Amino acid sequence: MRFWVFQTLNGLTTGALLFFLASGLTVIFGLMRILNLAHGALFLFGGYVGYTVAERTGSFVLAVLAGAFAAAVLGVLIQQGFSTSLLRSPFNQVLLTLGLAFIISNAILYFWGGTPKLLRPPEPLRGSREILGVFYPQYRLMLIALSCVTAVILYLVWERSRLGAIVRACVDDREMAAAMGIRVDLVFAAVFAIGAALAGMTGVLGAPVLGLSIGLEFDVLLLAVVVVVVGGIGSLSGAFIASMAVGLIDAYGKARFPELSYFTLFVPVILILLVRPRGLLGRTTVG
Amino acid sequence: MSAGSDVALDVSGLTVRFGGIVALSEVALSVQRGSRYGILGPNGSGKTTLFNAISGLNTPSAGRISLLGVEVTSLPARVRAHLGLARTFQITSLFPSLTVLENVAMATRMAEGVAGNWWSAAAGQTGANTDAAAMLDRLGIAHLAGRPVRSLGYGEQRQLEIAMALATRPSVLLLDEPTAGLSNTETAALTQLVRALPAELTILIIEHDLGVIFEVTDRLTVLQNGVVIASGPSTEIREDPIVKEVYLGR
Amino acid sequence: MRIVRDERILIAGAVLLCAVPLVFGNYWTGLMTQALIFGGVALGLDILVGFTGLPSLGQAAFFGLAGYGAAISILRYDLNPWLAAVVGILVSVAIAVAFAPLAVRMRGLAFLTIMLAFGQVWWGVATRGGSFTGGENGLPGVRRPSFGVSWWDLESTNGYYVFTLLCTTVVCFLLARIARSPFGVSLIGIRENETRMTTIGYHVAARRAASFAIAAASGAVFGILSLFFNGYVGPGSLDWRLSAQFLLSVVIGGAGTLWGPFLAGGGLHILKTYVTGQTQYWPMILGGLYVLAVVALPGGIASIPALARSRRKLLGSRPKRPIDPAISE
Repeated sequence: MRFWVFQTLNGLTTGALLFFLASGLTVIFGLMRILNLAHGALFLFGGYVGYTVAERTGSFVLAVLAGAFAAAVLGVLIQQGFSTSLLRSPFNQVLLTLGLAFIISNAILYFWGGTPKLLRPPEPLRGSREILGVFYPQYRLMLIALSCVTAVILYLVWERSRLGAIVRACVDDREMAAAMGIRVDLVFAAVFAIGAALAGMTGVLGAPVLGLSIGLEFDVLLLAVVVVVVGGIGSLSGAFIASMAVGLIDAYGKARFPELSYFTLFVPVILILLVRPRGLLGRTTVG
Repeated sequence: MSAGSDVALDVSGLTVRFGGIVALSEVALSVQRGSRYGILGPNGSGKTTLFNAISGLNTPSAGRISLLGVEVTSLPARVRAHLGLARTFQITSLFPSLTVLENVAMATRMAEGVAGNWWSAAAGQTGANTDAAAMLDRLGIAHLAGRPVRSLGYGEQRQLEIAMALATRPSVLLLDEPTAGLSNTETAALTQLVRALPAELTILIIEHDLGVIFEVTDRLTVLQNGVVIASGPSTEIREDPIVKEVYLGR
Repeated sequence: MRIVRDERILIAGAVLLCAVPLVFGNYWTGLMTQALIFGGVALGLDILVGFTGLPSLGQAAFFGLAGYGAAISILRYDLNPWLAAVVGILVSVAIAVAFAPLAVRMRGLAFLTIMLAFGQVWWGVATRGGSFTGGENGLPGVRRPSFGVSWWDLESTNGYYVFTLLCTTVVCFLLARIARSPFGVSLIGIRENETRMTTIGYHVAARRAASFAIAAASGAVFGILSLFFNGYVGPGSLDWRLSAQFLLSVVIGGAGTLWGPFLAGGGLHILKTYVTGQTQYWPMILGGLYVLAVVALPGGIASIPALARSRRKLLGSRPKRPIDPAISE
């Protein structure tokens, strides 16, 4: 029993990190119809920036903020480049964002070198705490809690706030929103920045769990894309559910059938998509 | 319900729902072979939904459709096409990157039975290509054969729509607002074209242009909010007070 | 059987490429062998991506499955390499045919993702397959087949190059035929207007599945060629990153043109190999290339001839008569 509690917590931790990452990705795609394959690179970039800040200042919180900010800035720069009609074609999007991902991740290699970096959790969150009969790292418990808080905040902003209403208007009908006086281009830039910030924040928050190494950005990108598609494009609640589901399936699968770890994760993904091509909570057809 | 092979299309109890909305409710009509049958109704009355149901592009929640004596309610669209059904679309529905001739050839190759050939060049299918060229000629757009569809004017595209539908040599043809957006001259030309179509061909036509409807059709069904409010010979429906109110009142 | 102009170009190109071993040494001949393989995979993928409009991130799966099928047959079951090659291709195609009806129910991003997941499943099977699949290390020690004649030795670089050139030419010729056929043109129709195709009477799902199988089969053939070239197959042959490279080759080359993806597939491989040898910053160069490709050539490599033509029209020939806007055709 304790084994399963442990695995569940592992799964929820992974799910938490996936949600932070996937939430930005799904909103960007839902709003701008851009599948940002550089999202993983932004994640890693934020992580490395945060690492350096943590090394210099000793403050974890500052590191998280710095990572989020740096990724947001880079994200907006990228987004400005998207404002051309070249990007109507999904093929060109894939090409462009993947190209940017390669450039960014290789630049990270240039500036920080190839050895994996270690970032320890902040002092007060080191060590374990007892929960549901097991001892589990406090930091990871914080991540799980934070993901729920973030999910709630994002949901409230999306559904209940004026900002959220404006963004939703742009998603539903761009031309109409513009006709109503909404600065659609500003909305796009802002949303992209927030999505990128989330990615960068995840890089730092995830560092104590995943580490920081070249190649990580594509591993997480793979999972994030899967989560977004399975959860339903543009759906935050879908991203949350899918993140947790993927995290749990991955944890249980790895624990129970380590020989089949990829099988146990991706076969359910295939099955879910076959049954619901829109994803679990998607509003529009994917593609 | 139907009198043997005289009835080209028979629809009964047709109900189509989209989520909570009832687009069509208990629609029934019977079209004789060779008839020119009109479907009238204000926007949103379910006319195109009816055509979609007949051609197999949506799934009714109730009712039966029978085409040339064959029950097709559960058959997919392509099977209905092989039974002899063809249609045009309200919003022009062509292959943008192909030329005008290639568009029609896509249909004539199916009619010729060579659409599954994977070895010989499509451009070398003389039978299908000649038929396609002949079809273009019949519609007066032969001079456009090599042009990409994108370069065509709206009226020409509508003609191509019809060429494609006729290219499969159908027995039952559904025309969805063929004159929509056309000028008076173009409308007149199209009306002439429809009148010149073979007598054995059964035609259903959705139209807003009442002049066209009353000139071309012999029977009509009028829809409003997914329900049949009138049905019968065109000359009678023309005088029907309910129809007048629906179209001219308010 | 009429030979069309494009096919003449193909055969002429193939004949020209026969000269490679005469001009270049072993290194470049080997590189060209791989370029042919990668170009061929991209061309086959273009049938699915460019013609049918289904963007697949799983082409490497069929490429690698064939390699694994053959390698396992040779190493574990002592099969003759020729027979093993057939087995490998059949295994890959069988899996493709089994999955095709399900996969082609998806479109766009859903299809992309499901193929990505599909590829990862097999990647997982390969890496976790213990000694059967060689695990993370893959299966080395695969010997090339032999014709049994002294004048065509497949063990030699030149001999294998010519063999690869022959196979590539045959496969590409077949694919070009298919693309030009009524079946091939119907794929374009399905991509552009599925509803219209259905109402004309085309079986859209079946044709999609067929194009899926064709792309997979061509990937399988080149997977075998790659296996024998390297004498090795590993999880990297199934990796989604390889699938991404194939897909990007199609996009950079110009989806739907066949020859563009072929050139891009081969060219990208040569470039990547060359640059990887020069600097550890090759991803940046590759990435820069992708970005440049989008900005400068949105239509892909294949759009270059058309661009050149229109440029010539603007700058080049003087009109015989001054063009009078009042005179209409």
